[in-house]
Formats: sequence, C-alpha cells, structure tokens
Amino acid sequence: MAASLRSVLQHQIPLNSLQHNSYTIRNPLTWCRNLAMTKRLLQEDAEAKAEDNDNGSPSTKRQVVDVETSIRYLDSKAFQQGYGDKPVWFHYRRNFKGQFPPKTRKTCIRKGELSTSSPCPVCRDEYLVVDAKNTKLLKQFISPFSGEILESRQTGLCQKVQKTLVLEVTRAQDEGRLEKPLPFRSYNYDDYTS
Amino acid sequence: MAASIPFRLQNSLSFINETFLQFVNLKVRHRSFSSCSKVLFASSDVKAPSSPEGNNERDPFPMFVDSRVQDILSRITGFDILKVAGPHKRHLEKPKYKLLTDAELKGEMAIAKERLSKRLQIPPFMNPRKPNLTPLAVDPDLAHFDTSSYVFTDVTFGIADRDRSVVVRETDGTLRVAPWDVKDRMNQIYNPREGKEYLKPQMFEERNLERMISEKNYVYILDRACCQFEPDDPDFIRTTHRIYRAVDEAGDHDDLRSTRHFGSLAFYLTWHKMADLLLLDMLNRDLASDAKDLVRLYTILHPDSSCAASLSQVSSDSSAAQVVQVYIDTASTLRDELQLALQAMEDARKADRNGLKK
Repeated sequence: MAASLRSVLQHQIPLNSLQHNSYTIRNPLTWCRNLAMTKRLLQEDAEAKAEDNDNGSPSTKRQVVDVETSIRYLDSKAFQQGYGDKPVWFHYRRNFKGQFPPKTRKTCIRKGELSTSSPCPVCRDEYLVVDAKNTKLLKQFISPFSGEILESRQTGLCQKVQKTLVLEVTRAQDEGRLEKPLPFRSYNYDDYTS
Repeated sequence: MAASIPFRLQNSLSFINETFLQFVNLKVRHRSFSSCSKVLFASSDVKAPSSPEGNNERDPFPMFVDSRVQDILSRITGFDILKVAGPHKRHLEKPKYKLLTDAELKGEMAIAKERLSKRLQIPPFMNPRKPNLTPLAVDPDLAHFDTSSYVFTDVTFGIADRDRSVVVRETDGTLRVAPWDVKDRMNQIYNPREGKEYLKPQMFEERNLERMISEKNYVYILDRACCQFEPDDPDFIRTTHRIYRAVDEAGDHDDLRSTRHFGSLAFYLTWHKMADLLLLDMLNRDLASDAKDLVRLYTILHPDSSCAASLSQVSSDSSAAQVVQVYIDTASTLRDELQLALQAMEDARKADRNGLKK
C-alpha cells in the first residue's frame, strides 16, 4: 500500500517544471484547480507551433506595430475618421451562404502576410494590436450589458485573433484594467466571532 | 490500511491521531491531490501584517457587530435605490412579464426592497489574523521522508471553510496547522467560491492599485477584494485601508455612499480618529443627522475620550449642531473648517425656514 502510494507520488510530473515551460506561456491566468495533470499537457501542439513558425518569417508586406503606437492610433483623428463612433467590427460584413454565419476562418495572416482578400476586422488594420494595455480596443469586443466577450460569429474575428482576445481580456481583468462581473458576497457575522 | 502508511503517530496528540487517520483515508481516494499540494506549499510565506496606525491592541470586531454601531452605520450609508439597484453586468436573460394586482405589486416591491437592503451588508471589520506557529507534533524520525511537505485537508461534506482542518507534515517531520494562505488555497481547491481566483490577481499589487485609485475605481476594487479575500486576511486589510485613505484624501466619500463599503469607511476613519474630512463632507452636503450619528459613533468607539465625556453631559435629544459643536471643541483637528461648515449649514437652514415663513 505504502509502496504504491509512494510510486504514485514519484511518477507525477513535477509541476514546477511544467509551469515554467510551455504551459505558462499559453495561459498562466486560468491556471487553477487542474488536479489531473497528465503528460498530454506537456506535449506541444504541433499545429500551433508550425503556424507560429510560419508567421515568424519576415515579410515586407506587413508592418509590425507596437502597443503604444496602437493606443495612440485609437485616440487619433485618423481612427475617428476611419471608424467613427462604431466599434471596429461594426461595418464588417462576412460573405456566406444561408441564414446562419459559419465558424470564422482559422487565421487571416499566413507567413507574415494577409492570405485572404477579406481579412477580419483586426487583421485588416495592422495598427490594431490586441493587448491587455489597449483597453479601448478590447472594450469594443465586450458586451456593455453583460460584460461578456462577444462571439466571433458576431464580430467576424478570425479564430486566432479571437483566442488572443480572450487571453488578453483575462489578463486585463487580472491587472484591473477592465472590470469583471463579480458575484455578490454575503457574510455571516457569527462565523467571525471566535 | 492506516497501519501501512509510512508515518508514525505515537507522538502526536490524540485528537490529531483521529483526524490524521481520516485525512489519510481521504488521501487514498484523491490520488492527485497530494502531488498538487506539494508545490503549492513551496511558495507559502506568512508575512506579518503591516499596520500603519497603532491601534492594533484593541479588537474592532466586537465593537463592529454591536447593534448600536450597526444601526448607525446602516443609517449613514443611505439608500439611493438607483445606486443600489443600478445596472449590474451579468448574463443576459429574457425579461419575464407578469400581470399583478395592486396588492401583489406592493408585495413584490417590498420583497425587492428587502433583497436590495441585503446588498448593503457591511463586510466585517477585523484585525489581521495571526499565524499559528506552534507545531502539533514533532517527529524527528520522519525527517527527510520526502523532498517536499505534505498537506492534508479535511474534505468532509458540509464543513464551513473557516472550520476546515488543514495540516502540513513538513520535511523535517513536524506536523503543523497549515499557514493561512495554504489553507485559503486548499479551500479554493476543494470548495471553490465563485469570484475568487486561485492565485491572487495582479490588480492588488501596488502599481496596479495605484493606477486604479487614480482612475477612481474605488467600489470595484473593494468589491473584488471582498470576493477574493477573507475579511481578516492581511491583504484584504491592507488593500481596503489603502482605498479608504485614498477616498478620504481625495474627498470622494460620496462615491461610496449607498454601497456596502460606506459603513466600513466610516468605521475605519472613526476607529483611527481621522473622521474630520468625512464629517466636513457631511456638513457640506447638509446631512445633519448623519453628522450627529458619526459623532455618536465616535463616542461609542472611544468611550474614554474627552469628546465622549463632554457629550454625556449633553442631553441625548439635543440638535445635531450641538453634538457636532462638542466634537469640534474636544476632538477635532480641523477645527476652523468644521466650524465654518457648521455655521454655513446652520445659516442655510435658517434662511430656508425664513423663506418658508414668507
């Protein structure tokens, strides 16, 4: 019995190394309560890695813009002229058959340049950088009534940008840049008397 | 089965023997849990609470739950229904429509008001909790049984989080009650509470807090602190007191009015004898009865002060102006400003009364 317990403990993956490797980079903020840590988490997502490598190749066709520039752009007159008071996805129309919009495309940018003639509202403007600091942009993808992130079917964002958006919104909420809907906590004073 | 576990229990206290066996049984059921706990414990640190003001010898909590204090706090909080029941962000649902008679409508309104008044429950005002450092058992024979500590948690159904026993067997063989932060994390693992993060959000770090204070997001910070921390957590106390001081310095007392935090703010300021700016704000807003209540609160919290002594000679049904005047004469540090504000309030009242007569 004791031997089997010990073996279970020793064969567990060391969580420290797991945290410092790929896992934290993917999403450190939602790391919680994952009791069943399996080897599967250590395996790298081959597909994602291939895509990252694709995007890493330098291209002259697409400019890399930093967050500070993007924040300044969102406050600028040019942005106001381009988009008006509406969110950036408001005038974007997808071209699909039938009544219900299908899932959005996986990514608009392959090998560092646009691979489609109708890129999603964020990919089409290289000055829009999805980042936790860029709260003015993030707020355009959050419902003002429920505080939830809008679906990509509604906004038309490609899957890749949508994924980054969710991550950056979580990060912004963690740092207190965006407000998060909170439940009400009630106290029983008797619990605290002793 | 318990006999086969590689721990010796003779030296430990008898009640721990019992509970410990219970934990061991639980551990076999939750195989993954001990490995998880191993790392969690590695990052634990118990910091002594930083207390800027020296009033820590007295425990504020018995005063806080006193019915007189609670009455005063809820009275000065106010009840602005638009602010209490204002739009909250939550998952959207379709509205429900009902046809009601007048009597039924009245009943519904009463229920709604009852529900809303619960939203103003004030978070407990407590001293920071103290670390429990006395070991439960020291077993040197167990030293180096493993490279990391083991945490044992009582996961019996129906235990309140505060009553849950969590103990740690350290690598040198001592058995201790788990430090508070470990206990909090174990509670969050086995009995997760909505709105609480497993790791402390970064917004409670000083630089983020600074930014949010400059944006005047006071209510949100305080709400989130309530969700995240226990009321006697040093982090909770540090954060909330920081916000109360910021609110007091910026004179934004009105932002917290009609929220659950106004009572805490008033209690904190009065407890540390810094309520002058709050009193000034009340006088400037023509809230005479609130000002009177605040001075009463001061005398309840500081019964030995000269203010309490001189106020006991004034009759209990005297006007707000008289009560505040006593406070200004005996306990105030902002004498001139308060005197001016009181005078202005009195004059305005007189002018009003004269205007009505004409």
